[in-house]
Order: sequence, then C-alpha cells, then structure tokens
Amino acid sequence: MHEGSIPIVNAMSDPAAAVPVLEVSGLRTRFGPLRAVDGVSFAVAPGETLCIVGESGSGKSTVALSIMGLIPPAAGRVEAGSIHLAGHGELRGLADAAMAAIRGRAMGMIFQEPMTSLNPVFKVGTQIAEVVRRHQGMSRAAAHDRAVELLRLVGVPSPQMRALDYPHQLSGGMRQRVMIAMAIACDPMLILADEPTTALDVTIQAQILALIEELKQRLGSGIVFITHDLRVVAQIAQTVCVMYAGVVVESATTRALLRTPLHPYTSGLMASIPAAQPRGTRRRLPVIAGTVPNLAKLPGGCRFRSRCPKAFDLCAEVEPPLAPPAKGDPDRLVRCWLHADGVAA
Amino acid sequence: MTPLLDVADLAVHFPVFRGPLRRKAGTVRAVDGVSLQVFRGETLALVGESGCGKSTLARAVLRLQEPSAGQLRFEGQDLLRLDRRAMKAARRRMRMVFQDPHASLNPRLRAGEIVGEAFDIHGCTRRERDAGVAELLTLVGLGPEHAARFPHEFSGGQRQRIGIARALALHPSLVVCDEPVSALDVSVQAQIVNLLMELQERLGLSYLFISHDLHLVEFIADRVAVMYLGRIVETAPIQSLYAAPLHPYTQALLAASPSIDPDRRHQHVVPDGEVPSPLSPPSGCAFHPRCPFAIANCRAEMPPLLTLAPGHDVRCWRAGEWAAAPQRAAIPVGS
Repeated sequence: MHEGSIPIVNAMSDPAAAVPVLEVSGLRTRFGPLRAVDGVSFAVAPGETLCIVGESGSGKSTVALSIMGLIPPAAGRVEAGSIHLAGHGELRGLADAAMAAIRGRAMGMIFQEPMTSLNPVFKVGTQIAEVVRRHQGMSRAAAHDRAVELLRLVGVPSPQMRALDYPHQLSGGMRQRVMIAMAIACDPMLILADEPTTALDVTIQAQILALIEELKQRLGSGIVFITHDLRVVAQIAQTVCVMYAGVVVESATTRALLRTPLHPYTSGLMASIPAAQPRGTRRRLPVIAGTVPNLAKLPGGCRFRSRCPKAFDLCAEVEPPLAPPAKGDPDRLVRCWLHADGVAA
Repeated sequence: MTPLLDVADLAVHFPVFRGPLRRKAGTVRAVDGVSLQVFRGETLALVGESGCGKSTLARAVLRLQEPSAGQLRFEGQDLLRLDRRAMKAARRRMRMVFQDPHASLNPRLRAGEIVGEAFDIHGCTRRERDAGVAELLTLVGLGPEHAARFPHEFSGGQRQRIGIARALALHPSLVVCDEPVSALDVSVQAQIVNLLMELQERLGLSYLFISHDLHLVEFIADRVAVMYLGRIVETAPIQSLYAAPLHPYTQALLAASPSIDPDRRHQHVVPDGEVPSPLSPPSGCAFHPRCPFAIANCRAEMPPLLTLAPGHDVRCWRAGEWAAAPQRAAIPVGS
C-alpha cells in the first residue's frame, strides 16, 4: 500500500510527455433528469495545473464531485465514462470504503468555503492530524508534529500556536491555508481545488495562488483547478478546459486559449472582462446576450447557439463535436462548427 | 461646483462587549474620519478588502447606520440634522443597490410590488405607482409583464435588474451600489455594468460604487477612493491612480489583481500578511506592518491625507518620494 510503485516525475519536466495522473473520459453525471455533466474528457500530467473554467450551471463542480466520488447517491449518479487515477486504476464504481482510502491520501481536496469545510468544534491542528493518522497510521503525537510542520509549510505564522486554534479564530486566508495543509498532508499525486480563492480578497488570493504553485513545484502533483475567473486561469494554469452547459466547448494551453480563443463563448467571456478603455461616454462592455441555459430545457444542436452571435443553420440541427480546429493548432480542441473541417465558409 | 454628496470626517464606531458581564471590551472604528465628495453625474468607486469599512461607510451615508461623528451633506441639506420624516423624504433622492439579488428581494412579493413599494411609502397614488412600475421595469430591460412574477422566477441577472429598478423609483440623484455585480456570472456581470452606465447617462445619476474588483472599477469609475482599516488612504482620478498609484497599499492591490495576460503573471509580488484586526489597529499608519517601505515615523504617527497633485490625495509619509520618482513606484519583486 505504499506509493513507491508510482514513478516520481520531476515537476519541471514536460507535462505532455509524462503519464497522466488523472485521466477522465466520457464522464456523464446526471441529477434526476438533468445531465449536469454530459461527456467530459481530460487528462492531467504530474506537475500540471489544469483549469476547468465555466459559469454557474456549467457542470464544473459536478466534474470535481464525480472524480472524488462525492455525488450523493440520493441526488444523482455518475452514469458513464471512466476516471482513471495513476496507481489506483479505475475509480468509477469503487466501493465507498475504497474511495475513502483514496480521498485525502492520493487525492487532496480544497474547497471554496473553508469555514464550512472545516469542523468548527475541533482545533485545526487536530483536524490536520486526523488526516495523517487515518491514512498513514501515525501516532497521536507524531501526527500533531506533522500537522504543525504542514502548517509551517503552507505559510501559517507561529504554527505551534495556530494548531491549537479553532477555525473561527482564523481569518479566511488562514483557514484556506489550513485546508491546503490538509489537502497536501499525504503528499497526494492529485489535488482538486474547487474555487479555492473565490471567497478571498485579492491580496490573499494572490498569496494562496502563489502557495498552490509553490506546493505543486515541490510535490510534483497534478492539479485540477476549478474557477469561474479567466484572470485566475491566466495566473495559474498550463492547460484550460472551458465548460458550458455540461460539456467542454474548448480546451487548449492557457496561452493559446487566451491569445486566440476559438469558441465564440470563450471569446465572449474574455471580451466581457472589464479593462481600461478610452474615457468618455458610451463606453460599454461587449456582452454575451441572454443567460446560461436551463439544463432541463437545453436547445437542440449546439448548446450555445441561442446566445451565439455567429450561429447558423447547422448549429441548430446538429451538436458540433469536440475536435481539433480545421485550421491551426492540432493540439487544441474546440466544439464549434465554425472551426470544423469543410463546414465553415 | 458644490458636490452632490459631501462627507466630512465621518466616523462609525461600534462598541464591542465581551465576557459574562458583557463589559465593554473596546471599540471597532469601522469608519474613522472619512471625507469624500461625489459630484453630479460621476461615479466614485470605493475599493478595499473585506473589513475595511466600505460597506459600513455606504450604509452610514444613507443613515441606515447612524454615524458616530462627522458631517453629511446631500443636495445642500445637512442629513445628520434631519428628523425621521425629513430623512425619509431625503432618501427618495438617495437609494441603494445591494450585492446579493437573492437575499435583497423579498421572496413573497411580486416584482411589481418590490419596485412599487417606494411609491407606496412615499404616498403616491395607485395609478402613479402602476405607471411608474411599468416604466421602471422597461427602463432596466425587463417588461411590464414581469411585474406579476415572484423573485424565484427570475435569473440572477434579472433579479439584479429588479433591484436596480427598485432603486430608481422616485428619481434619485445618488445611487449607492454595494458590490452590485460580484454575485453574478461573468457573462451577466457585463450586462448589468452596461445597464448601470446607460442609466447614468440617461438619468444623470451619480454612483457611489463599492467594489473589490479593480478591473471593473477602472472601467466604470471616474474617481477612486481606496480604503484600508476604516480610513481613506488614497483618492485619485482613475487615470492617475492606475498609472501611478502612490500609496503602497494601492500598489499592492493593483499588483495582486490578476491580469488576463498569461505572460504577465504576478511574480509572487504578494503583499505579506493580512488586514489587522480593527479592534486593535496598529499604531501610526495602519498599513505599516505589511508595508515594505515603512520607516520609523510610520510606526509612530498616522500620516495625514496629503494632496500631491490636483485631485490626488495620499495618506503616506513617503508619498512625496514616490511622487517625485514615479518610475520606481512599484513594489520590488520577491518582497
């Protein structure tokens, strides 16, 4: 049960060449009649940060919950697809006990709101120690020492004292550092971070993003980072998947995606980010018309077409496949007829 | 030109009670001697991190929170001398848009009732009200047919439109917007920002615009006031603030604001530490424990708000040095 069998890959090596830590393919998750995630595939290499970006209802958080095996059985289920974690094989369909042994050990998790993810009645040191005691069978004293060491590692000042604090005694930024300490307690090969900086102020967000980057370099873990903010993507990701209404509409390296967005949704999202503009009246932000569609009433064909300024007949009839663009970089993928072979004018 | 809103030395202090006997343990100076002006037709942005007192200041401006000290003049009236009835009349002209459109609309009222409530409170007739509601809903991009629906039947962006329509009833001159788009999806934010700007141009509104998003502020505002721990540390027109921020805290905020350009990642240019507790603020300049340029004087004495250029005020002992050499006005990499 030791992770020694897994090849340790240098974080600085080319992520594309390495064996992926996590490979998700054809993932479909349904809540009752709603297909929250409708066929999502991606892979994360060691030392790579993959951002999944999307608005509310895009299915990005459901992807994370599906990977962690935390879709409540009463509410929904992972219908199809495979979730392959290096060294642990297929996670989908794994029994709860086996999944619980992987979560927190091979897979670290950081959530948006640390106040609701931490237990308010236990000291933070105890909560971090519990992770290492459970997964690595350390003694109480050794686990406490390890908790203090982890707090120091994530930049909590005077960690011996802070370990004895309760969550409510810490600031939002410090609580998020505690969450990160728990996530990395067992040197996970994969870290899932779901909007970890959304509830934080900008200066604290910058600190936490820098910390996550530093820990990734040190541990060589792969990171799946879920966010709604393309500016955070620009700061932290190597690769990006843009999700819309349950599917990936575009994926590429961060630079390629932000320099030349191909999907009309991606370029619309980028254009609607406020930036300095010439002064004077009548300045306006470019907008994406309409709102995120209701998953229960998805239009046929392309899911974005009702809001798309470039939609044409074919978009209403057939959903475009996620495929390399007809012209340009074969390494990127886009789900749009405008970029499909022999379709667009 | 007389300002529409003139806030002078405004303070809001909250007593803190602790222990079994609820003894007074101290005072949180949430807003501590703030002066600012909002002129007709302009947008003044108030930026700062959580806990800096920007929302408390906004509420104090409308006397939703009673100020502890200071002066408040709005359209030439001294608001703090008004009795309840006169204050109610004054509030027709100063309204507020809240952050969370889910929490700020009564779920049991129809959109028409929410928007029309102001007409009832201020004694308008039924016909005035119905006409007003239809006009307001159209103005914010909804339609009169939406008046009969309940808040849960609307999307987040539409709900914020209702919140804006409610604020615009009775023709206000000042609208205080407290983080009006931060709870919305990115693609919807832009729609609401455009609506606010369009309404400002059509109706000649002034906005006191509270936000933590410096990119949005750069787009929407004419002037900015930066708050830190209950005080204004820098006020400037948009162009000078973004081109040459003079207060180290403003510089840190701008450095920490992520850029959309992947080639301009912040090279760990991160201000150390966190906002200190307002219950026991640091001596001298409140920013000195986090400031890479702090000198002895910063620990000893609170710097005054100094005017270094027309319209550009800074509360920093060393601001004169930064202003003299603007090219070095940036936090050193790897601080």
